[in-house]
Amino acid sequence: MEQKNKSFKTFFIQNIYILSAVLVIVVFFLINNSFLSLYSIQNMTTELAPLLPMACGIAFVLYAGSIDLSIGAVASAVCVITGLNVGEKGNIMILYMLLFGVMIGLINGLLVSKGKLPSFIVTLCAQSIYRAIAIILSNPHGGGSKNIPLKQRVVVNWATNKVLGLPILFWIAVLILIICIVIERKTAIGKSIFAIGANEKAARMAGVNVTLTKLCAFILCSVGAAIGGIMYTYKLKSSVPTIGDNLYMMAISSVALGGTLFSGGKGSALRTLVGVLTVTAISSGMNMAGVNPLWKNVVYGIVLIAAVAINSEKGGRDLIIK
Amino acid sequence: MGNEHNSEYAIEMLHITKRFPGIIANDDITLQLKHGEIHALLGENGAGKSTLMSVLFGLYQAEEGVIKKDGKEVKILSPNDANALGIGMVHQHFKLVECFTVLDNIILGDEPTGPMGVLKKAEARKKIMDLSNKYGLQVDPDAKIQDITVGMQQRTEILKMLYRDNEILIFDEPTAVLTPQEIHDLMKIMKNLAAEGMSILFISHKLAEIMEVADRCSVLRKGKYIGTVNTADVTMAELSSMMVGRNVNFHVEKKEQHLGDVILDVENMTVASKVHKNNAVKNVSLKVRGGEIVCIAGIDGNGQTEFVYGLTGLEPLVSGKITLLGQDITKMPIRKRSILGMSHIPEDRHKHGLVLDYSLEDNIVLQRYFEPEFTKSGFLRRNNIRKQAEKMIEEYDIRSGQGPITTSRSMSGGNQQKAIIAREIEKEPGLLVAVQPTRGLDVGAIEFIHKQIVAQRDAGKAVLLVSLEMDEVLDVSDRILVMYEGEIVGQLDPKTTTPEEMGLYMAGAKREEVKA
Repeated sequence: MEQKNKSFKTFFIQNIYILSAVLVIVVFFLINNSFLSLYSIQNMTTELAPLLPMACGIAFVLYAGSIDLSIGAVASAVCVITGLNVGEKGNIMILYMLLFGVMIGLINGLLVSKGKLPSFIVTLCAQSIYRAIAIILSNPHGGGSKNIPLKQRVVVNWATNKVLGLPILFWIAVLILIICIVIERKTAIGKSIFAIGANEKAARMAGVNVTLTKLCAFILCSVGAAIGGIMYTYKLKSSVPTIGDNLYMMAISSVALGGTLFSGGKGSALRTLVGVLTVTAISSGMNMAGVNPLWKNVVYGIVLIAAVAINSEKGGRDLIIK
Repeated sequence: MGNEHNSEYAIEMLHITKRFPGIIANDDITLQLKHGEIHALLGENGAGKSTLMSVLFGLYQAEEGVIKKDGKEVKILSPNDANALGIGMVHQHFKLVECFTVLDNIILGDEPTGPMGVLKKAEARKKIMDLSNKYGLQVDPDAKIQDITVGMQQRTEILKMLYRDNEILIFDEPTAVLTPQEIHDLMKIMKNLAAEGMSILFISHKLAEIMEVADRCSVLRKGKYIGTVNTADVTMAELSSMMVGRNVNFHVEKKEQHLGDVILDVENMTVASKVHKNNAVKNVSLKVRGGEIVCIAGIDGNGQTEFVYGLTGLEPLVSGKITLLGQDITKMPIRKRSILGMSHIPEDRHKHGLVLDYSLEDNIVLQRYFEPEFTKSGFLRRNNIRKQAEKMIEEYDIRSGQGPITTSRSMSGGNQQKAIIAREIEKEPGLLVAVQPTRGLDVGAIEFIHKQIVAQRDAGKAVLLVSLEMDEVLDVSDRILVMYEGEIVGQLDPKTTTPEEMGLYMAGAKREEVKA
């Protein structure tokens, strides 16, 4: 009897993420019926597209039991560099920026795995550095956002064209989601990432290369952040040096809302997708309800704490950032 | 060096010596494992069994001695080296990823992959199911570790070794966490494995199991090699006496006993285990009266630690009641228990005994700094603390580099323990709980600590001693309670019992009903 109650409680907590997504959507639908109109949905999928790769990326670092606070700043830097150059250099900038992401992940990952520094500190410092880079690069252009000149926009316009009624950016995000699911479920490296998050000692004894695995997690994360940054450039058709300031909160909140454990070892990209939907719905819904955008971060802060509090295991092992 | 001799053994560990600071864990130990045999390694706690196996598995490197495989000398620097040589180990505490499935755990770190690093799970599954059928190792490959029984977790660990084609299998106290039925199954599995040509090292201190399953048995005692016997040629009693040795003459002077009132009364205490799903302490009742030293004896891991945690308030009880000096303390916080009259010399002096980075004097007043003698209006009275520390240093002969201001971390183990004992005894408790108070100490310190404990008893205090050392149990205590698998299985009188008899109780070969 007691066992049954317990397993129901576990089941409830494990699936509460779906409930929270439904709840958010219903509430905003009741406030404003046009929340679920075709136009609104199209709009939300465009909003969601850059957030999804970032959230899926940082999820790998969280599975491994670490954290990456630099993703927002990385997205800002990438957004600025892409925006300032894509008009002249063309779409090849995407490839350069992906390599830039790999490089950032490599540096973060090496400092954490080889240097044995806490990921919290390493990525907090990285955040400061890349945020500054974004602003410094913007300075000669007036310091703020800069639009891609009109006649060069042909280069980037394809991204917001619609296929099957939804923007191409969204379909790319879906493709990335599928790749992440494959990495998680079908590859040795994916399994190793979860293993070191759940029980690093057991993984090491089983012969897992812990250093290399952590490195991979950080690279996947930074590449995800870079993709997010590129997508913002293509979506906004401009370079915005402050675009990432809220993004890491949104991305981490999304992953937490999906029920991924911050102590590592548990989670999935599909769950992250539901979390991203919830966060996007909150963001769009608040816009449509006419709430002052300044309040958004207050809401994300509360949402993140609530999500972590509900999902965390109360065993005391939780929230240890390695 | 005859060549035919070399090939007789799968593994030879010759003259292995491994030292840790202040202790020789393995002193010139030789162990030879024949092909296809089950070889038991028997010894009390601290005899050096685990250290020796850790050397073989590459977790430690020995200072002296060589390891040979099939007669050829090999170097084992890490578990991966051991694995490459076909040596696998089932650890006492399993090394499994809890939220992974059985299948994922078995292949972790040795995954079969195709192009682009994509897993070939079907292939792995087939190999695992074949092994599982061949050796009778029933597992559900898709169940998560956290949802399956301890027995199945262990079978997963065994499959992990077989999956890696290991042929030398180390089992580190494999039966400690199993139910009798699971133990029976495991014995059958081990015999199957040996029949298929695997060589098995079986670490245990349970005599009945060794007699049942092992072909030969090597005995270690206090880091030294005692001998190797064919189990068919010896009795349990003979093995027991090899394990515990003769009682070293190391007697403690005690005055005649004057029993006082009941000071501690534990009724039906049950404490949950952190390691497995069973309770670690099952329905234990006992009484300790003033003027007596009651000793809980037993082999490590039979619930003594959890019993003390429950008694001292470090862990909550599942059920039961504790009465100290007439007051119900079952749910009392630790500080209140301490003030009421419970002193605790903890098992792990670094974790629960001292704040290692505090000075000696701060550690001396660790449980009393809030008393008016040491605190006034929220400010510490440093002069009084200093005086108290100096008094303790003098009385208990605590030696340290700079006296009261020495950092506790820099002191030797014996002097750290003396500091704890000084602090705990100076509180003048009604009950002194001393857990392995002499572990890892030299003879001089041991003698001093025994004297202090006996002095408490002679002063009419109640003492509850928990010890793994046979000699200590027999020399110091007035009454012995043997704990086995979380229960009190025997009450013995140290004046009339022998180490051999006690060994039989400790190894679960004998038990009787004990009333508190």
